[in-house]
Amino acid sequence: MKANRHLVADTVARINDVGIGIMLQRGNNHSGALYRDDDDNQIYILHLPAEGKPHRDPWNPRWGWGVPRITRQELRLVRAMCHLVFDLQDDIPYGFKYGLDTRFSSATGALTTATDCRGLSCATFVLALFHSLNIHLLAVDSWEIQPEELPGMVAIAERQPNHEAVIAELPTARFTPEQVSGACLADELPIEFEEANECGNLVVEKMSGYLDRRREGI
Amino acid sequence: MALDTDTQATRPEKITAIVRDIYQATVPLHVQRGYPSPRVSEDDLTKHLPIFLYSIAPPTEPAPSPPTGPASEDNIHEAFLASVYRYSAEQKINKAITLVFKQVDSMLRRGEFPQVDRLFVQVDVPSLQPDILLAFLAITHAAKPKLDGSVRFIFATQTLEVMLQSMDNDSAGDLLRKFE
Repeated sequence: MKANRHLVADTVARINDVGIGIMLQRGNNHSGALYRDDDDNQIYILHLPAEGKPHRDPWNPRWGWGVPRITRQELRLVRAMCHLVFDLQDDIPYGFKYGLDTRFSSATGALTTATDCRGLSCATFVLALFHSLNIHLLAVDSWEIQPEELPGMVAIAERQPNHEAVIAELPTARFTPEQVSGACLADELPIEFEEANECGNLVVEKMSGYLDRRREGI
Repeated sequence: MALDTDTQATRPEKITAIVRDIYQATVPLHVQRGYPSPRVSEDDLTKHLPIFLYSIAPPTEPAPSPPTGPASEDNIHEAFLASVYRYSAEQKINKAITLVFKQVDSMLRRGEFPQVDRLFVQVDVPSLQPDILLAFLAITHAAKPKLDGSVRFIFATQTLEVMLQSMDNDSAGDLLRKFE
């Protein structure tokens, strides 16, 4: 892990294709994929704030971002996947449980979820965008249930329209926005649970420092 | 294409060997169906084989009919590919990739798998940048079981040859393995 690499919070000018964004929010951070639009050349954030269609918003400085260490060819393909997923405007169920068979699949139509997996969270939405192109950011099999995450997961689930179905997935391992963004700090992908936590904490630390400095006008 | 090490030299040779094997296996079938023996030199195998293979590979698929009007399937493919070639020539790689993703995805969603097979045959591989060729393979990867394996395989083989003109063997191989 190289702490000072790949994570930027002040400008998106250096994003040619795609990056992973994170927004710090009280109690629950949020993640999405940043990508450069083919037509207007602007950077947008594609994200899944709740059950339903993916949202696309212009990037703003509340979003920190990084670029995972993958090839330019792969970044270009993920960028195209972002275009595709946004244009399709499929309804995406909300869910925490995530498996390797979850992906946006052109063979079957909309999102295909792994067995017993209901849908996506904001973090697994980003994972699935990459994973659909066989790019693995996280070593999903190394994730374990973290009991301390459960209250937060229940709180998020209760905000979803089909909250009973979402809660029925619990307990399950949670993939967090910090962990997904943390993949941008890794030299090699996919990263295991421990490294993802370490990188994720570093992302939050760097982002917090950046936001504090902005608030103080530094 | 410059090949300066033994490792680099082996991959194209392997490709040619694989293609030659397929060629030799398919010629008897071709002749058996009453087609004239293909006039393809071994040196030109990778150039001509996709078209030849297509003619015999999908046994239940009727031969493509000539275009019947502006809305015919072949015309649609040609218009789509013309846009891809133009973007490629203008170095608008991302536009080309996005177009490929959207067009092929919509065909797959409609269940037009034989048409996607035919598209693979129609693409003039050497005319396109490697990144655009990869897009064809990436967007069809999940649909592999429903597509004609030999046509897609030949496309991937040709793609690898194009990639090797600008990438080293390992990088090209690693990348292609993810999508092939």
